[in-house]
Amino acid sequence: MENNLNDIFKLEMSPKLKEDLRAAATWGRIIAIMGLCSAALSLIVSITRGAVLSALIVAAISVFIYLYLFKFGNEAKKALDTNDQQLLNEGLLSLRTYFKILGVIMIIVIIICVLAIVFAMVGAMIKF
Amino acid sequence: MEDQSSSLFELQVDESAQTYLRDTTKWTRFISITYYVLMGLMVFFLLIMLMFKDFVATAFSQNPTLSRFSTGTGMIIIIFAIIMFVAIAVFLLVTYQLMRFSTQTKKGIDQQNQDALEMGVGSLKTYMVISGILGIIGLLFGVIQLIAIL
Repeated sequence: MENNLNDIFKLEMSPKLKEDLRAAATWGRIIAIMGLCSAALSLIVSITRGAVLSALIVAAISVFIYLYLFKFGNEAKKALDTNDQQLLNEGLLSLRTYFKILGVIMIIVIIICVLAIVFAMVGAMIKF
Repeated sequence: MEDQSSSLFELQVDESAQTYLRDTTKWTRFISITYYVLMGLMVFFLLIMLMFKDFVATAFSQNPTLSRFSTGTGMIIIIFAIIMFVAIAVFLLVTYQLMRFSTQTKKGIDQQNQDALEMGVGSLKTYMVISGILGIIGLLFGVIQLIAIL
């Protein structure tokens, strides 16, 4: 039976893999809590300076991103403690979503930067 | 019998886990390449700034409003550049770990290589640890800034 299982999944959840995943989950939770606190802090700082709308948007995006990282931390840790395969997979799905959102935000920022450079160049050319 | 039944309930890197991990590596690869390009641009602009530091200092001294800041402008630029280079070096280490996670985990899953997968997840752990420590330092600076404002 054991041999059959090993044949289906050649990759196993070895003690080292478990240990590293547990550490990643713990630090993932710490990063998420830090991120949420930073978002709250920057919101307070921005409100004191009067830039409420942009601060709200940034804080909302931060909360959205860090919630997935927090979910990964929670689910992966619980899955390793209780040997729950489904919960482990849900945790890995949350990790994927976290990096996916980061990647999409990065693409949007790159597009905005490229557009800003193009508009600046066109503006300079028209002026010239 | 007991061993057989316990192995049934052991955690596995099953098909779903492999799919999620492979998808994750695609995004982390993209993110780390973008970070590398960003760091390259930062180094490029820092080098340009260092090359033209004398020009900036002269411009400061010739401007009536900025002339009072002109003393030591070149030195300030050098100190700023050193701080930035250290920050880039730390950021490079974080990005290297993320890239290593992407390449090793993908290799581990594609070739069903246990060692590569372990190396990849180990890099994810290191990435999380360094990012966490940087996050704590960042938060401390944020709190100091808030106290300064209030």
